[in-house]
Amino acid sequence: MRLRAWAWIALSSIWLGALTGATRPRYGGALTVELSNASLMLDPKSAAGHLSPSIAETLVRVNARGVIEPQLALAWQHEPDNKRWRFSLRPKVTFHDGEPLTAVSAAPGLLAALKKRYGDVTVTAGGHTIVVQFEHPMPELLAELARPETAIFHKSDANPVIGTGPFRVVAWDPARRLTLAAFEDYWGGRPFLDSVVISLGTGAARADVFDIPFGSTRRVVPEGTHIWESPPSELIAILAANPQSTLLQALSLVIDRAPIVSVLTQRRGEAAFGILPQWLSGYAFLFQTAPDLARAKQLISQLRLPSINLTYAANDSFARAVADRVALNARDAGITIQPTTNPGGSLTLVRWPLESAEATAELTRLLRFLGAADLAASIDPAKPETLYEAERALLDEHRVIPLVYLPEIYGLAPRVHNWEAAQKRDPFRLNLENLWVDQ
Amino acid sequence: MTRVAFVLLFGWVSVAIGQAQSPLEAAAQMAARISSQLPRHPTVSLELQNLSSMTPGDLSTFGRALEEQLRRSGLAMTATQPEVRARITISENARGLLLVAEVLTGDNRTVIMQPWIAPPASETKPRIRILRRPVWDQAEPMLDLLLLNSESELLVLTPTAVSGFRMADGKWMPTGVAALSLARPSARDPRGRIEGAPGGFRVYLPGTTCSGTLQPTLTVACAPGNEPWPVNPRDPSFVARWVTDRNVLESPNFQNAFYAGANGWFSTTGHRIVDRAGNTLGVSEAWGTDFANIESSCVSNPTVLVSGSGDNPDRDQAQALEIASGRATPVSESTALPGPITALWPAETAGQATLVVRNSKTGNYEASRLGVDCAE
Repeated sequence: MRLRAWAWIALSSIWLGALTGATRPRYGGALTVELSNASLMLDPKSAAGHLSPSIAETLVRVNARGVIEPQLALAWQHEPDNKRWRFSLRPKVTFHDGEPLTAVSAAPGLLAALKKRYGDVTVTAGGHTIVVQFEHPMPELLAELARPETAIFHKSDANPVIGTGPFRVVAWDPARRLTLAAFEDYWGGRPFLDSVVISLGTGAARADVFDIPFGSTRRVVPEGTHIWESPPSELIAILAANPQSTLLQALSLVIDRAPIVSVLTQRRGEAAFGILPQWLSGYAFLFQTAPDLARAKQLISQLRLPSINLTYAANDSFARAVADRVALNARDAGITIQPTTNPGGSLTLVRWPLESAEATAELTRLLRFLGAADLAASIDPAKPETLYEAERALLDEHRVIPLVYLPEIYGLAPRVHNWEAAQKRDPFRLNLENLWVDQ
Repeated sequence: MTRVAFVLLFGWVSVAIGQAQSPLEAAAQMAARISSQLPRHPTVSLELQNLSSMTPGDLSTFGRALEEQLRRSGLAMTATQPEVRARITISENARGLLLVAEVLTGDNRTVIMQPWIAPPASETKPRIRILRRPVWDQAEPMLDLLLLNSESELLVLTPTAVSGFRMADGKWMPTGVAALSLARPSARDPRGRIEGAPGGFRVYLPGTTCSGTLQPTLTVACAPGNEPWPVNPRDPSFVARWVTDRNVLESPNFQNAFYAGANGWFSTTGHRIVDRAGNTLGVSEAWGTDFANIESSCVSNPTVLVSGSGDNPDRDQAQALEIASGRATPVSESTALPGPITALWPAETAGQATLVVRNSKTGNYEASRLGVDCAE
């Protein structure tokens, strides 16, 4: 809050039409969405996926700047050792079935979600307060509680997810269609849309909103469609099952990422030399290198090289194209790489989607996945150098070779409004509650 | 007692809101960190690259400041055959600017990083047509404000409370906060109106109507309901009321729901400006959903201040239009605003309108009074 001086000032002026404004939203109407990937949908078992925050909410959330914000919890406190955390719940919140949100109603689901990852957790409830206790320090608890997996919801025989979010589930046909309706009593204000119908895997581009995955055939879009790209949000990388430092170092030197970006992603992707993209870390440029075929050949000149299998997902045509490109580059250095869909290759091409704009949480999550808990523990969120050093150490071990970052791309019908502003709130989710449509 | 013990047991965690640093302050901090990495006072070359949205002018200012600060810390700056190369990158991440220094000594490279919250860019000098008088800004959404007692007292309406302030020594000093007891959750795109009433004030929200007093303390009492109220305090014949849970109004003067109305014209949910009979006003497409009547002695016909149209979440505009013969004609240039208009109402004082803008850079809601300056 800031006190302002009390004086008239003049405003800058420009000619009519040079600016646009923000038209006030209109209530009503139905939005149709077509998604190609089931992982983008609601998963009633885990409450994961891009849509789940519209239905089931978490205690806290990460905003587009990577800052933790209150959601179902209005305030929180912790002991200095970060083992005991106390959350005060937002008042006057109800579930879609009319049950009020209380600590007692929220605690069991929260405990079950946290127990999957932390065996030493206990959750106790009293009134509007939840206390989460660990036997080990949990400084990253807020980031953990922002993940969709810890969303607060319950189930009934008829409804797989009864949450507190702006939309309630009306019908759910697994792997085919999800129908949502506006939750009239949503604490943050009823959504503008009356309903949303999400279809899966039709491969068409007829809906108001549809995704355009890399490698898909959904390239021809209706006239007037607006194309929206998220910031780079998914890392394509090679993971090594058994690090062979010299060979992998040579491979990382010989891969030319420029054709992957220009040809395979049609310049929509971004070359990846580090784990976190530049927009998120601010230091990714420090990892940038040019291919060095001579150095790669020198490194492997004394090695006896077997043929190496590079495994990619069978249904992922984009991954296949990338694997072929890597094999081509490797051959120039005398390394034989065989792309295959058979599991068990010593190298694996993986897609690593970012979940939030919280750089520390994202890097920690990947480091833990790779078994580098020691590097994760060395990160101090207040010191960006520690993120860089952890990433540098991981890359120097050649256990992971970053290749390219991909954005998410959506086609939007002209009648869809407020998409840009809605996605600015959180580019990693479909923020349906702030969209509105012409009718 | 238990609660007290609990509060003592825990330490509050709050999101650290960093202070903005001037280029000189940021340069001084970075120079100190660079020089601390060097055991003696070697010759140093300085290279600067910009990977951020910083303008070339600001980059140049920072570069000069950094070079000066490195000199002050005892380093000898040179462009030729330096013992140490300092490569400074102005980078950017999700949280803002990030200064990255690579200190290269032979084969050794030390990396230093320093987040930088740069001060907001200064406002450009305007050509005067519409005047703005900043009144108040805050992080929480503001729906409306009311100036009382010769503008010595201020009431700020938010979706959840009315806050009172009194002017003292040129500053608004808080006098109290009265929470609103809402019958329904606040509407998305929240809107509301506060107006003076005998002995206090009235608040009109979609689904809730409240009465308040200022003396002896600020109080407010709310009840479910949508009571009608005069949209323009100086025109009691035009009354409207909110549609519950929505961002639109209804009125006996008009048969459809509308966002705003003045001088017999209404902005409809179909994003047209029409009169009671359904006649469409001839108007530029730049006219958005919000507008407010404003009296002006230099324009003979009814005049309105209008918001901009479109989906731009980062900026908006205001413009004065004169309405005559079914047409709206600009009588001012459009005025750039730093974010979308979230409220635009006729003020309680003739010749003024209340404007609230959500600043897209700071995220704050900025309330102002707009007036029309007739002097060229």
